[in-house]
Amino acid sequence: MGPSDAELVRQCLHGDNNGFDLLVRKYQRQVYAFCLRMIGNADDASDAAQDSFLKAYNALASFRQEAQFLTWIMRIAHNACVDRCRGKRPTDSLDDVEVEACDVPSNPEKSAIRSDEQQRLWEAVLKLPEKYQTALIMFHFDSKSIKEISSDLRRPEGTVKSDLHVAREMLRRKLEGVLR
Amino acid sequence: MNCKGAREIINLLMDGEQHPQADQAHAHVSECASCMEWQSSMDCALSIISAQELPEIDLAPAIMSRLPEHHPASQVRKRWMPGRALAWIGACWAAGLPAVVVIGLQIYHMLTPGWTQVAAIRAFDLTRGFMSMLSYGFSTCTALFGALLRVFEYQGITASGVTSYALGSILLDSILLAIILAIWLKGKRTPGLFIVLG
Repeated sequence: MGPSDAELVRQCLHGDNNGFDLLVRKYQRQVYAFCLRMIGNADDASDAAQDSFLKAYNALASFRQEAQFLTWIMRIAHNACVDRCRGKRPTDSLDDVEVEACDVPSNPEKSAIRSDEQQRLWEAVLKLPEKYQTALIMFHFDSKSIKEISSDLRRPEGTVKSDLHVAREMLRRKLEGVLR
Repeated sequence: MNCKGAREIINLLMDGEQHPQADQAHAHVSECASCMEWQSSMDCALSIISAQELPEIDLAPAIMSRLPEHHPASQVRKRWMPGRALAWIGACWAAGLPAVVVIGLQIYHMLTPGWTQVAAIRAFDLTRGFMSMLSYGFSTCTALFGALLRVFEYQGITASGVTSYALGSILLDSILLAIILAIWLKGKRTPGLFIVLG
């Protein structure tokens, strides 16, 4: 088992950039996939993902050691994508969003026209309380098993499952009025 | 099977587990309008964050080439290290020096009664509150000076009679000292917060 994310962050903060290099290699695909889904354009997504890591690097001292790096960088990536898209079109609040269909296209490129909705729906995800958000993202987005999440978060499997169930219900309720 | 039971089982299935009553749960959901709607909205919500095949991409070289050689935080730490250390040592000495003077006067007073008695008592009164603040605030070393002062205070009580002020003062100082020592035993630095408390 390699060093934890918190250890890699500490390594970087002590002047060794190899720690950050490992973090980039570990999460670049997730962050890029996230940006691709949010923006819908491969080139812009790549730029947004790079910006996200650079912003994360500059803000690394503010990273709380007990937090999950993935959820932290996804929040940064979300803001980077919103900023990038804001120059192209105005954004409304989450309450104004009405998504006509709930099936997400299998090809992320096709989701370009719905990137605005994606951003606002993800905003709802990222506004969930941290422990629920983390469980949800690690299980559904990062495809980790309950056992892996339990090991990463150092929480009993039963607690992770319970958090996951509550998180799903919270997200469902939050988006109930938005999705149709 | 009721709605609650069916939804719990569906949730377990989403976790990747198996359940002996899975078929019954699915049957209930397909027949119950409320559960059907629940399932539909759950699927919609999860579709937003569900995993897709992650694309193969290597952003690391481009990102790393844009970073400085070392993280700025490490430079700041190195730059401030001597100054901070000197300030810390200076503060400890500043806190410890009055304690040394008072203890010296007290010892001298015990050995040679006379004018030093008055001087020692005045010096002790003046520095007692000051020491409580500084000794507990800065370091374990000066907290130990504080502990020595408490010994002289007990001696003072036995010599001049018990007052509620003296007892309260000793009690408060003893509690603070116990907290400091407990923190020290846990291997942590004594916090400056106690300056305020003092």
